[in-house]
Amino acid sequence: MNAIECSGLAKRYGRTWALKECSLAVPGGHIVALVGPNGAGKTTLLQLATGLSRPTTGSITVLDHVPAGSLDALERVAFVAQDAPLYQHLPVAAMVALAEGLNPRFERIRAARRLLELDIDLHRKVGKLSGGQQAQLALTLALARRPELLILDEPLARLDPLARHDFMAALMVATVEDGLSVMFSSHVVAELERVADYVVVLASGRLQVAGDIADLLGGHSMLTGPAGEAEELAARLAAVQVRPAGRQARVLVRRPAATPPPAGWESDEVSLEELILAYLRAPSASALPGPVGPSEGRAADGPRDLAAAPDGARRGARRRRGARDRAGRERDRDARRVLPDRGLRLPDVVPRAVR
Amino acid sequence: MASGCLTSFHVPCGELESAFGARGYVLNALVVAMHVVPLLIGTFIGAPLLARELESGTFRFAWTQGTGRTRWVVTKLVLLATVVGALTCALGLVFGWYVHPFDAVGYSSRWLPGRFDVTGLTLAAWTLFALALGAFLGLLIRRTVAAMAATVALAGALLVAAYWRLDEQLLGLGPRVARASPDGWAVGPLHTYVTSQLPSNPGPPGSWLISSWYTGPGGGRLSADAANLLLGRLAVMFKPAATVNDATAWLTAHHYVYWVSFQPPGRYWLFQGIEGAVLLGLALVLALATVALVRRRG
Repeated sequence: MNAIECSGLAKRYGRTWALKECSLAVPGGHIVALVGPNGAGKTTLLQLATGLSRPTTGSITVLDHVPAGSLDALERVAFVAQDAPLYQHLPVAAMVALAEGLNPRFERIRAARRLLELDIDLHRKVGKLSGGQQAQLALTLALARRPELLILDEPLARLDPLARHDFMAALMVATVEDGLSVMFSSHVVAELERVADYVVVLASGRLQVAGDIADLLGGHSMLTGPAGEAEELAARLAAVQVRPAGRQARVLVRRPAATPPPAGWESDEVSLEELILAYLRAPSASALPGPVGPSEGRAADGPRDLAAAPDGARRGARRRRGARDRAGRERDRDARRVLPDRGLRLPDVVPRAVR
Repeated sequence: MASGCLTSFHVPCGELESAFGARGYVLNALVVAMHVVPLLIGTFIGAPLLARELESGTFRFAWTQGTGRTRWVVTKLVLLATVVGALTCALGLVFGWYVHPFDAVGYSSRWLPGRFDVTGLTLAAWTLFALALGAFLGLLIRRTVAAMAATVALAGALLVAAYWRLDEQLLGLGPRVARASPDGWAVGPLHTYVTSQLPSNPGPPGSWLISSWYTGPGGGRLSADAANLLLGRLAVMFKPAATVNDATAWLTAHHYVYWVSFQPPGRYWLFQGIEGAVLLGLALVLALATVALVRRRG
């Protein structure tokens, strides 16, 4: 099952494209971190997924082809918006009652028990709660809806480290208990691995990286060696990024760390933070799973972002997905057949192919 | 002094008039207060209804809940409209009950522009219109204070326009025309109604006088100047001992006729209905536009 699937999705506000040609299929059952710098289009993507925004072009569905924002989707998808906007003048109890009234599947007992555990006074006004408590209240209300997909926009932004820890712990417990899929956005890339197992990276409205974190880390390695040879090596190995470090250089390449490195070079595993930052610093590089056509399997107009994904990345991703998703593999094969080569617009730092 | 008073009550008119006149300021204050009700509700309930949600971001909570935003906004509007409509209708009826004696002695009239807009029906209609206008403007403007200012300005302008002009236009539609007593006495001094008690009555009591004029012996309508000249001549001719009846007899003998155009009392609720329907129609259009905009937003 795909938690979120979009195809050719784009959103324009006035003259600015907040999101461009985004095609993505996030499998269900994951905790997905949506990362990217401020203004990358994270909120836009999440609002499209919850139906708060409507796409300018393209389509977005949730929970296996349910159109985002439809009544069916609204009932099964819970959303906690940035800064957890709740009714500040209402007492907590009234806020719970309101959420109950607005949701057919709401479980009041569950919400009340959780608020008790969190030591949140039901008679206090929402506006008088601390930022951490408000975030917890918003999460409680969202979880009490028994969603199949929970979407959170910057849930950690307002929280201090302790509250952040508590919040993520609560989220993970709920995920395990309910088996729900979670997608949350964050502009903080540190410590994501502890929480998320799938990552989507957006930069300036463009999808840059999407994949299972373990697979991504396994598929990349950091080569350290003489700075003089770095450019040549980078060109030969389709490097994502080259960073000079004194006389040495660090080159992020798309190949498992276990692969024997070239002579004079050392191969190391890469951390998720390093990986994400490297991609964000190389805006033209991308690591995306194979092309995701619309649900009918039509992919004739392959989005440029996907076409731009180097073959290696695509091949790796395909291998991963293949086991899980037979239909997806069919689609990939179709897409490979119809994707024209002229659509490739490869970045300068990434040579054409890894052969 | 009102001619209704002359016949309906066995009390000296002067006393009645002063008794009600002493309460006149209360009546006027109440009429003004009743006009403020739609503005208050439109401004303080209608305008913030959606503007505050959009301004504070709570719409992101409300519109992503299981029931969906359409049901949310429809429920909000319908519930509020029901409560506000019932309360203002009751208020209008209570006001009508309070003001009835003023009408009975002819001190005031339910047809008067200030009064016509605040009956149970029209007050509720005006208030529902202001409520829908406020909600719609709040959705467009997205700022609570700005939406409140726009609502009070627009609804206020329309209320004032109704008071000064629109009511007059409405009540002037398709009037009845009748001959009155040639001296014009059948028309009350307030010139707000026509009574049946006097001879040559042109209409039943509680009618609304729109205009009056003389026609001369040739059947042509006399201009205001000509009519004044005629009345001046009469005043000289029959001074000082003559009675009104002498003047009347002279006018009749010389084929002068006094005409009035008026709305009969039976049409009062027709016009109330027209005004109410127009306002409720506008309110409905605004409410539907609000729902459509909420659905399409994003």
